[in-house]
Amino acid sequence: MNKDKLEIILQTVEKPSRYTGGELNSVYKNPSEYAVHFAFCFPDVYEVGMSHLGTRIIYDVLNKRNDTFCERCFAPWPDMEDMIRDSGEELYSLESKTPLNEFDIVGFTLQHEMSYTNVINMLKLGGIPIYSKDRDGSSPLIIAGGPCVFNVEPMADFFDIVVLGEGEYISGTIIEKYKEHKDKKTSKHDFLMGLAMEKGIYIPSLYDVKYTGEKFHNIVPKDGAPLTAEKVFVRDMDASPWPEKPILPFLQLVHDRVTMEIFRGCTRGCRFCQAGMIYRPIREKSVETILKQTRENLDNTGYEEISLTSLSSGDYSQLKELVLGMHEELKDCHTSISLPSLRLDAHAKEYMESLENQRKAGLTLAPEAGSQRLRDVINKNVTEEDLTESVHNAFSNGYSSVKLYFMLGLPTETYDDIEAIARLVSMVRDEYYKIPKEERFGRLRIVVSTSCFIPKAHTPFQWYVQDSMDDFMEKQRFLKDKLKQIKGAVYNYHDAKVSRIEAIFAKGDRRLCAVVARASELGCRFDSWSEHFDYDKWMLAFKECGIDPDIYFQLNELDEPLPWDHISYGVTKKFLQKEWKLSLQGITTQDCRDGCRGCGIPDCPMIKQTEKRN
Amino acid sequence: MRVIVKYSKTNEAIYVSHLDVQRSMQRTLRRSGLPVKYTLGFHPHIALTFALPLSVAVESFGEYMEFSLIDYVSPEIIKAKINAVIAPGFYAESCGYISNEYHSLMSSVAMCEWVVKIKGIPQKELADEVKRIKDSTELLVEKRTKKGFRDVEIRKGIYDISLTADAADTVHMRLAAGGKENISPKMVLAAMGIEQKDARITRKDIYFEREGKHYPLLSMCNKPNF
Ligand code: SF4
Repeated sequence: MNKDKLEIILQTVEKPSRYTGGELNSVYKNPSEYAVHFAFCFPDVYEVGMSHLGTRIIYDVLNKRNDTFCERCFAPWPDMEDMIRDSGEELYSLESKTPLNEFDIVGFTLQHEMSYTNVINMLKLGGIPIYSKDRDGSSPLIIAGGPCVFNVEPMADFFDIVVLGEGEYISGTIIEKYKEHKDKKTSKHDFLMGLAMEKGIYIPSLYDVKYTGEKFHNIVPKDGAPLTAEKVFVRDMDASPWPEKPILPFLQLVHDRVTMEIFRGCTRGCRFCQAGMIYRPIREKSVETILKQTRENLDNTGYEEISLTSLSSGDYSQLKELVLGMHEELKDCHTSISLPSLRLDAHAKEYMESLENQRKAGLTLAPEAGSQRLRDVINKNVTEEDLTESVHNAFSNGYSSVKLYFMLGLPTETYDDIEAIARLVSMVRDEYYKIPKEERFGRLRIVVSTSCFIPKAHTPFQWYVQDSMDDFMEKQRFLKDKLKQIKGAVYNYHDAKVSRIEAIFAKGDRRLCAVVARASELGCRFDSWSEHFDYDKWMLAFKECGIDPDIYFQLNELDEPLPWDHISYGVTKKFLQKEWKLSLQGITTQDCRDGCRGCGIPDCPMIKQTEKRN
Repeated sequence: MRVIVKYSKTNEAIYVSHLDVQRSMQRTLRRSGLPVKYTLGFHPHIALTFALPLSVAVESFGEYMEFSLIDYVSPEIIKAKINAVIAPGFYAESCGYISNEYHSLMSSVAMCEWVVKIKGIPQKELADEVKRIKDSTELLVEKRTKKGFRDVEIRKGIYDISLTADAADTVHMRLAAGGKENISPKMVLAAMGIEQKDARITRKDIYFEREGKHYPLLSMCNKPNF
C-alpha cells in the first residue's frame, strides 16, 4: 500500500487502528529474509478477529519458525473497503502493508457460514482471482481452516488447500512441503497431490462431484487422492504451542482479556452441537500448565481480566485445584476471572465463593430446550433440578441477572416444549423471589434468547430438515406472548432469514460456490452483521445461479451419500445414525467420561484414561 | 506520591484514540511492575489521569499522564521501567514527582505548542497567510456544535503564530488550550483556508500558566521557582 495514500485514508476512516498493526507483541520481520510469507486472514472486522484464540495461536506458531513471516489481515469495514477501492490499491497486511496478492500463502479461517462472502470480498480486494482453477503459480496459495471446513463444499472451488483439524499440528508440514515445491519448482498440481496424501489435508480440486437431477449423488477422488480426508489433532495439550506473548490490541475487543484455554473437545455428546462432535476427543491442559501460561500472559499483556475457556469449563477434571490455584496466583494483582461456560450442573458454589474477585455481572445458562422431553431428544443432559440449583446459588451469591439460551425448531419440538421455556423462566423468577428481600442483590433481569436451530453436517441432526421461516416466526410470536406475562423477562430472538441461509450452507454442496460468488458480486458482505445482511440479495443470487434453495431442505435417507461424507473427523457415520435414531425415541447417551460410547475416534486417548480409572 | 510522565505518540500510534490510549497506559503500568496506586472498590483500577486528549492522526512529543506510586522509585527507573514495556509508538520522554500544591494536570492546562507541516502550498502564499493571521485582530471560523454550526472568534486564543526558522513549510503555533478556551490547530488551518489532508500536525508540548507566563507541564516537577 502506498504510504501517502494510506496516510490520507487513515485520517478519514472510522477506527483507523483497525488497519495499522503496530500493537504490543505484534511481530515484525523483513519479508525478504524469510522463505515463506504467510497472510493469515480473518474474514470479519479486526475487533472480532483479534478476539479469536485460534488466530493468535497460528500467528504465534508460524512466527516462531525461522523460515516464515506470518502477518495478519482482517475484513475491512465498508468505509475502508470504499477507500481501498477508490485509491486503486489492494487490501494489505497489517504488519508490512504488503498487498495480499504478493504473499506466498494466504490462509482464511472459516468460523461460521455467514463469513463466506467476506472471504470472497477479501480475495477480490487483495487482487487475487477467487477461483482456485484461475490461479497459476504466480498467485498465492489459498488455504482454509476452522470449524466450517468440515463441510467446506460450498466454498470448495475457492481454496487450494483445506486444513482439517488443529492448524498448529499441520501448519509445519504445509510450510515444509511448500518450500520443497518452490525449491524444486514442481507444478501446483503435483505439489497439491503430494499434500493430499498427508493426514489433515483436503484438496478440493482432487475430487469430482456428481449429481442426479438436482440431488447430490456422490463425490469421488481422482488421480489417486485418498477416499476420505481425515482430521488431525493435538494429543498432548501441555506440549502444544501456546502464545506466551499474545498481541495486545489498542482497540477494545469483543473479548478483551486473557483467554486461557483449559481443554479441547467435549464429552457430553449434545446432538445438535457440531463443536462437540468435530473437536473430539477431549484433551486437557494440566493445572500447572494453565497457571504458568496464565502468569506469562498476564505479565506480557497487563490485562486485568482472564477467562477460562473450553466447550464446557465446568467439566474440567481438576476444576477445584485449578480454581484454588488461580485464586492463589491472582491474589493481590487486581485481576478478575470469569468462567464463561460454567455448566449449570457443576458444583459451582464452593468454587464461586473462592473467587471473590470474580465479576458478578450475570449468570449465563444454556438449557437449549424448555422441556425435559426435548432436552432428552437433543441429549442435553441437564435437569430442571440442576437449573434450579444453579440459579438459586447464583441469586444467593450476589447475582441478579440471568441469561438463558434456547433453540427453537429442534427435532420433534411441539408448542408444549416452547411453552415449557416460559415455565422455566417463571421458575427462575420464583427462585429469585424466594431469597429474602434484604439478601437480594440488584433488580431481577432475565434475558431469554432463542436462536433458530440449524442442523449441521457431522452431527446426528444432519438428517433433520430445518423448520420453515414461517414456523420460526410463529414460534417466536408464541413465546413472546408467553414471556410478556413474566415480570423481569426480556426476550431476544434471531432472524429466521439469516438462519435459513446459514442452514443452506451448513449442509450445502459444491454448487453453492457460484451462489457465494454471485452474492458477493451483488454486494453481500458482513452477513453476520444485521445492518449488512440482505436476504433479498441472497435470494437474487440463488435465482441468477439457477439454484432453488429449497433443494437444501429435503429429507435425506439415513444411508444416502452426503456431500461431506469424504471428510472424516473421527466420529463415524454409523455412530451418528445410531444417535439420530436414539434421539427420535428420546433416549439419551451418557457422557463418555464414564465410559466409551463408541463414537469411533481412532486411538482415543479418553478411552485409555477411563480404563485406567476403572 | 504523584508522578507525571511526559510521553510521545508517533508513527502508527497516532491513530490510537484517546480512550484506547487510556486503556493502553493502564496496562503499560500494570506490566511495568511499578508500585502504582489502585483505586479502591470492587473493580480496582489504576488511578490514572491525562492532561489533554489528542485528536486521532495527530502526532505528539508532549503528552502527559499522572498517577501515584505507593513507594518511592527514582524518576530514571520509572522512565526505564515504563519504556521497557510501553506499546510501540509511545515513549516516556521524562517523568518526575509533583507536589500537591498543583491541581490536576487536566485543570492546569492553559496552552499548547504545535507545529504544522503544510504540503502543496507555495511558500510565499503560506508566509502571507501566516502574516495575515498574525496581523488580524479578529478571526471568525465556523465551528460545529451540538446545535449546528456557529461562528467563533479565535484570534485572542492564538498567542503566537510564525513560520519556523528552519523550514518554510512549517507553521509554529501557540494556542490557548484547556477548560476556558480551546483553539485547535485545525481551526487555525480553517481560517487560513488550508485543507486538513494537506497538513501534518504535531503537538510539541502542553503548558500551564502562572502570573501571566506559560511553563511546560513538566516543569511542575521542579521546585516551584516563579
Ligand atoms: S471414542 Fe469413546 S471415549 Fe473417545 S470420544 Fe468417542 S465416545 Fe468418547
